Amino acid sequence: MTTSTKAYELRGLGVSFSGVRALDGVDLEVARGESVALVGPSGAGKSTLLRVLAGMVAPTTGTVRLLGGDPSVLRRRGELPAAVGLMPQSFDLVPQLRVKHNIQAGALGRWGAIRSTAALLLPLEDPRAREAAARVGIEERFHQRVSRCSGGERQRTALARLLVQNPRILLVDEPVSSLDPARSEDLLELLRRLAVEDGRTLVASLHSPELARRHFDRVVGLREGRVAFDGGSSAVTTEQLTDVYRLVDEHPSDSR
Amino acid sequence: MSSTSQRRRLVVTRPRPTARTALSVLLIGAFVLAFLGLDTTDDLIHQGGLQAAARLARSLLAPDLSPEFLVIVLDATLVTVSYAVAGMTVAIVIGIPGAVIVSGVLVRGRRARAVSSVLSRGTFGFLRAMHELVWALLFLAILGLTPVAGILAIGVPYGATLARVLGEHLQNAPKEVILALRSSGASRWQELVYGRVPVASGDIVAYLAYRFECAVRAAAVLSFIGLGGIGYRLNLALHDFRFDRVWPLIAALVGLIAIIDVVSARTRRTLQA
Repeated sequence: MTTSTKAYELRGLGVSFSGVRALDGVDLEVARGESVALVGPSGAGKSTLLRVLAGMVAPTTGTVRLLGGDPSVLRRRGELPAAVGLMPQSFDLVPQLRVKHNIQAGALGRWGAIRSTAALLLPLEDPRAREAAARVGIEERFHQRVSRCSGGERQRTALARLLVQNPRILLVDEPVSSLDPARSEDLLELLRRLAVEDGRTLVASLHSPELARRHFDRVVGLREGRVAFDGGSSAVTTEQLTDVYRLVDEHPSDSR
Repeated sequence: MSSTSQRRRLVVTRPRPTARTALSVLLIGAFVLAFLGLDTTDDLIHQGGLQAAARLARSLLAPDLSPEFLVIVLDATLVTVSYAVAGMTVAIVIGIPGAVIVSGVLVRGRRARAVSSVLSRGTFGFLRAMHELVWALLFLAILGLTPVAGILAIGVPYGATLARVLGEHLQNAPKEVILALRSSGASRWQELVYGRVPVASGDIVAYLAYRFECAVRAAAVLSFIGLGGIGYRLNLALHDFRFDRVWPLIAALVGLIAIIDVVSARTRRTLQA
């Protein structure tokens, strides 16, 4: 892989889905090891941006550099899983499998067909999966089927899977949207700790600007597919935050 | 959206009442005409039929439960179950790899997938098109009156059906789950064993159980052609007008189906909970 000091360099990024613009002229740089929160109202393009950053969606216009490389090239070479991993909002686990197997699935990119099949069928245990489970606090549910886990336990399972995948960049889509305030603080603290301890870059989308300011180095506000503001957590003002969440109707020139 | 386009869409999706009424009149008319066309001068219902039905009903109260006959029923039941189990085993050996081929989930590239899908669907569609009874007659002609003919008569068409239906189950795994596995670097084989198979496991077991149930019925019917089993005994009893022996045999068949039903429901529950 490359030696770029930047995790991401986005220039004039635009993404359209069947003619509808989801992102429009986004310029963004993320340094390695930085933690960035994406905030903005529903439909601002946060999830689309995360999917572009994950290399799952190709830009319609503009360029994306991931650790100095082209995401589609990294994908073709099979280097994408080691570079970036995304925890989707719906976790997308396999409910019929145990927590253990869902966590081990993070290693599939490094395992061959025989090893991964054996790990599923035989009572084998990957020490890395056990360690990841311990780090996110899901160890006591290690052998439980995911379909019997609570929402919070599923989230931790998805996080452990991401740790086993071991990418340089962690992307997290709306991690606290279904958690109460105390648990939200806990989870963001955990995410931050996991990123800092391993020197990973962290990009997360959030609904709460307050949490974004408290737990991330930098806050990027998105509105209607564009970057509305971008700055250090301490520099972002309350006006900027309220402005990004302002309803479209309050601004007649925006209405279509 | 403008109101005119909404109005137009409403008109298109709702069937016109006049067309619907005309169709109803036509169909009811055809139904009535079909009855009028029946030749009632001939015996529409075979003369002795009512009497036979009455005797069949009476024998329900006095079934043959002698130990000698119950041993025969048990033996016939076991033979039928063995045919069903052997037939399903052949079907699974054909159908599980077949399902993976038909689903195309291991094939890379859209064009390659289309080619393999058309070829495999065509092959299995051909095997499935013929009823198991027709297969039985074919295998009988080739292999003679041997158990293998009966087993293959169930195994071949059932294997082809399994390939198609289970193949669809494998295709229909939620896209997000598969994408999540793919983004962590899973190969197509790993997607299959870590994603598609576990997600579909409940449906797969339910369908295998249902097909096994069908195989038991098919094995009972196939034994009419001379292979042993419940159908063979049923045929003998009816030939000899031993209606009192018909009921225990039917009870055995119904009992078998009920047992399969209960076991499959329980297995499915454990798999999904």
